[in-house]
Amino acid sequence: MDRLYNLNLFSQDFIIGRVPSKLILQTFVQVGEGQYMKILIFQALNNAQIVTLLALDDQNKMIGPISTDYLPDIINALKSIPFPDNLDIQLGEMSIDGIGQSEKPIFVKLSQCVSALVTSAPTTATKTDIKIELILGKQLEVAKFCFAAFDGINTHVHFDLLEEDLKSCPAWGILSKIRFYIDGQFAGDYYAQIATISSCNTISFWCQTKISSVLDRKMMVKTHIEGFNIFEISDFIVSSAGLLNCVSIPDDFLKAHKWYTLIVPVVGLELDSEFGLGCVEFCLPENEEIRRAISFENALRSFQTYALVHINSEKMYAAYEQGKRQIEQALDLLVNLIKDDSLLSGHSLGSKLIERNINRFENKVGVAPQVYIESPSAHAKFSFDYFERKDNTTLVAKKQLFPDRLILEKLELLLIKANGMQDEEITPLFNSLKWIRKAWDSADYEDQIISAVIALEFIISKETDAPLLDKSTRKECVRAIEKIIREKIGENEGFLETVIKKFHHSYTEPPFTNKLKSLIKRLNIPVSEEEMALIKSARDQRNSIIHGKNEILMPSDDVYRLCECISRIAFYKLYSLEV
Amino acid sequence: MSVLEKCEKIGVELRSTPEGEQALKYLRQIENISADEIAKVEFFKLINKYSLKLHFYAVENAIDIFKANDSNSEIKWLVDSVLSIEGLEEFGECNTRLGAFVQGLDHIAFSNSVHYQLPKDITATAKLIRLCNSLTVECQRIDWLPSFLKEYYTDPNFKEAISRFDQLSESKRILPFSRKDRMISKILKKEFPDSKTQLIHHLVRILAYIKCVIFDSFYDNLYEIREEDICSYRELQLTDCKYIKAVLKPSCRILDSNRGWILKLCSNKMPAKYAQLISKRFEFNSRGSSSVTIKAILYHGL
Repeated sequence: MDRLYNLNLFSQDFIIGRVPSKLILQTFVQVGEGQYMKILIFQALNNAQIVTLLALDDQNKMIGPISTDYLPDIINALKSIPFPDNLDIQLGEMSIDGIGQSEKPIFVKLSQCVSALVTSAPTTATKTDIKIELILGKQLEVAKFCFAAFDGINTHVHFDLLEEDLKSCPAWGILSKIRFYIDGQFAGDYYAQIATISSCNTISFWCQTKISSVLDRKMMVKTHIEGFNIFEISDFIVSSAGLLNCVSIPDDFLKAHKWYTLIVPVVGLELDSEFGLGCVEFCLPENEEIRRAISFENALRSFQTYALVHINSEKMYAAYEQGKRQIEQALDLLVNLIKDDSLLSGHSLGSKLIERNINRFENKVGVAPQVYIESPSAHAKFSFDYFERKDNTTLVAKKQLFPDRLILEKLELLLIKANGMQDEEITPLFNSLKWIRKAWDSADYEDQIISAVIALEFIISKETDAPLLDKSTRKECVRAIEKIIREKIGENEGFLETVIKKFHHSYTEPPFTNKLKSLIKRLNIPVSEEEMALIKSARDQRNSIIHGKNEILMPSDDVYRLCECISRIAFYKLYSLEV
Repeated sequence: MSVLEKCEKIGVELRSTPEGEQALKYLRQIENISADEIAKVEFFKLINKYSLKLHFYAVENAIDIFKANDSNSEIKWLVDSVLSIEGLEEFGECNTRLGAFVQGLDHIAFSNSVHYQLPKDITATAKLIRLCNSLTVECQRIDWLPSFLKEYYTDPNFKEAISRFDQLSESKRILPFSRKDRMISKILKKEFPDSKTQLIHHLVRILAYIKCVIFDSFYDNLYEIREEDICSYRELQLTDCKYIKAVLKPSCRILDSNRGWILKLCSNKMPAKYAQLISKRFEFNSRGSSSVTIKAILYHGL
């Protein structure tokens, strides 16, 4: 997307009509068939409400007037961009009413606070070919296009697509990737944030880069910083939004491992005295280190128990992640130890007798969102509340989101047929919907992946496909196995029967992926190659989770997209059933 | 919890490691055997003499000194008596392993380049690991440490000055502010005029000090007194420390079995303070009463 804007311009000083101004936005707007213009939006430094529009002529490296012919398209495009600080209200009032015609560039008012340098003389627009790709290998023409960059990260893309083009991409959903091509060159991935039906045959998309959509969703609130340098803090904040190693650190910055102290309050747990588990210390509020944290951040005061861990790491965010994992592991061990019901300590590993009573309704033990991090060598402190933002809105069951009447009718009848009872055919599919819901709703990554894969297994459970080995080959193999076992082990019918049974099970039961592919083919389900890769990755990760291996986390967008894809497969299969 | 309080706890926790248990088992054996009392006293005196710099290594060092005097006819009777103490070699080996662990601790505590890892020298307990991490973090709070690290990483002369310091001190016990201590400081300043050699002095002194606290607390050898034991107390403020002179009440355990050179001053209201003893003088008057006058250095921020 570098061709659409110039990052260096953001850091330059401008005087627009004697007013010192800053560049707040660069846009690349479609002003005709395949014709585009770069429009710069400036804001006065001494009055944030004064805005000026100018054109950037890339070929001549000049900033100049905007042709009045292009103004309607430009104004329409700018109105669709979400500006901060109520600027969208100012820009929303823009109109071309009363604009005179002058070949000489003049400043005209487009609204009370917005003006533009315009000319009636023709100005140069750039001819550019922009295409987008929803499904790999299928490039689509855009009906309207506007690119907007507030800075190097916060960039937006608006475009319209024709309905008939979209109908040819049923496997694409709003969580799927959108690839951009400028003059045949790949120009980056974007993600649709909103899709609206703008007219009877076009759909408008407002997209952001994954980076800004992720940053927007994570929230770090009530931050209190003392003594940390800007690089450490910037790296922490950006890393916490999933963008690791994005902050450039100056060469002369001492890159060495440092110690960090992480303190988080623990809820649902009371201590009678302080103790440690692994590297984690469980402390009372009167502990000297906890008192120091509380004196720095009052929000930490209202807890009874705290977990403290010291971590040696090169970066604060890595230390935070490592420390949090250590605390969670220590809590897992602690809760398992305490909830143990055996009369001998340590799940009867120990020999100490312990009094027990039945009480399993205590509050859930967990860590509070408040976090305190200290760098002792720099005498630096940092506290914040960190959580994934929930928009606190209710899921609205809009009628328009329901499918066509006939489809819904069939799904309803299947629901009635299953009737809350065990139906061999229908129940596994409704069960799969339950597990997809769990995956969508879970706040824990591992739960999400496991639930999504369980949902898929319910869908696939009754599927058949050709076995790995055909019948005659299996028979030959069985004969060979019988021969080898009789030779090596002797007559042991029980053992032989078990081995043959296992062999049959392994080679008559088709592999999971084959069954899934067969289902997709049988019902003509639109599943893209990327989605198949996502399913494979989720199954690998599920195996890593349940076998205790290290896993690489999937970004949250991908998890939702995975759920969406599995849900789609479940719907196609449900719909294929006879009522 | 202060740096030195953490060191004391590390010393106590070291007793729970298999190596610590072994060392204490041999110590009890040596104390209880019917060897020549003079030999035992001389052996422990020698350990104590070198403990400030050598901590757990002082045991092996004392054995080596006796072995080196094997052919010294004047003290041959003493050398033979000491070296004939049963379990002496094993006692030395256990202490050497503990010494290696404590030696490694300062690399962790005073370095920015070392990753956390389980120690190889001893079989550490989880609590010991937590205390070591906690000590490291507490050490990082010491004000002059960032300047030391900066010099260490940026000034090539600084590392040379450290080697020179080691050479001058000859791995021996050097009392703070003693003649030898002042002499080393003077030589370093002269040979490395552009380097902040005072930082080396600080570091070496404090490293020796914290190792000694660990060693003495392991052997329950801290010189522990309470506020109410003191009948007169004077202190003199120096640049990085306080000089303390105190006379203890006659009721205080004067001939305490603890021979250590780390003073632990306990109070009901405040956390314990630790100081490095530089002299202990016992006085007996003609009426049979007695008192102890102690002089010590109390470092700030420890």
